[in-house]
Amino acid sequence: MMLFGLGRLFYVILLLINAVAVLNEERFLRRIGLGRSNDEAPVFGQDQNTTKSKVVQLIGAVQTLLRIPLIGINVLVIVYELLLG
Amino acid sequence: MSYNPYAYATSEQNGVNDRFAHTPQQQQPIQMQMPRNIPVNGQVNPNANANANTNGGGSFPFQDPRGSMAFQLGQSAFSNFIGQDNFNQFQETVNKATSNAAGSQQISTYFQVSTRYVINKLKLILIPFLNGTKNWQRIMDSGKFLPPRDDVNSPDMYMPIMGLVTYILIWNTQQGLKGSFNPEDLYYKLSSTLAFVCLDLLILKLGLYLLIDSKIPSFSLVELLCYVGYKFVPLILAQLLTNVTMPFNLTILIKFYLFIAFGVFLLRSVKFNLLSRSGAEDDDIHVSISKTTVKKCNYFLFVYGFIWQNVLMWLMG
Repeated sequence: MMLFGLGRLFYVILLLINAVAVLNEERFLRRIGLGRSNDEAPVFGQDQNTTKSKVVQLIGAVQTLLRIPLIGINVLVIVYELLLG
Repeated sequence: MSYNPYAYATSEQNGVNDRFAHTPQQQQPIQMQMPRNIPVNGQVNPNANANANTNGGGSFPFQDPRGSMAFQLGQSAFSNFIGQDNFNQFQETVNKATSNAAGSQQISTYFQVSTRYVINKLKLILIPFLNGTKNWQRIMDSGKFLPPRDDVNSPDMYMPIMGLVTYILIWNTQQGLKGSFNPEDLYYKLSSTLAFVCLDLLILKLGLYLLIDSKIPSFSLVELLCYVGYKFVPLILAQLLTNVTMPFNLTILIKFYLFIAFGVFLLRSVKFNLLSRSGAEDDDIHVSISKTTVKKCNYFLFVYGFIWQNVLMWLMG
């Protein structure tokens, strides 16, 4: 019980975001129908608010926004774990 | 807002049209400069003509065409670079962010509680079946929800925070009664409890984000935190139960009842308030909430409220 704390939760979230960030668009996402090109042009007047399009948006946002910060955070965590873990 | 790799192509097309769309706006500052320039021209100052020319007034006969061309080019290049759509969206985002910041200042409304409210809320959490299925909606007064003091169904932050502190203290007291009290446990328990709460909040927020149209106003993060934090009430009671010796497996039965009751409370109080605040303002949005969305939300809330909460409370307790 004591093992799961805020630090552990941080690792969990970091690893999950890493997992989302490494998904390859052409090799994987498009094949399971979550590629960005699938709903790149919504019909005019039609809202893009299905669950699937939101997942696509979320993946895209994570990949573009968090790619560079993730490199830094991962390096920090790896160094920390190597030295002190 | 996600990154759209195709935005560049469309914004370029818009940029061509933008030049025409912008002409009324371009003339506006020029007309405002006119009254300032006219008296200068009256003095027959050689510099005045130069001033008028460099100002690029469209209404002057001896105007340097290069100036206005450069102005237009500059403007179209600017709108090409940023993109009119992006600029508008940027403005909207800024507006939304500032309004959200203003909303977070009103966090104090969630602390306006009274003793009667707390007692009623405890009753609501422990015996949600008495309330029936009708009156779970929050009361709305002139576009705003009433504070918890006046409305039992409103979420508050007082009970979750008090519950968190009480839960940690009780857990450590029990450790002390067993003779294994360690001051570090205070910190460890706080960290682990906060981590569970964060995880819980994350799952609830993600689920609601994926299911509900983002245009429909829904719960803010603070309100979700309130609902997540109410689970300390059954947790504290379950924790206290372990000290009392009871015949049969009554302890387990009571715990089971507590968790089921909390599930009912959570499900109802979230479900009935989830999509309610859009209905008061305009009916268009209300119509657009499809039945399938409501159904999906109900399923999600059921799984979340009963199964996941029970797993979580079992893990924490």
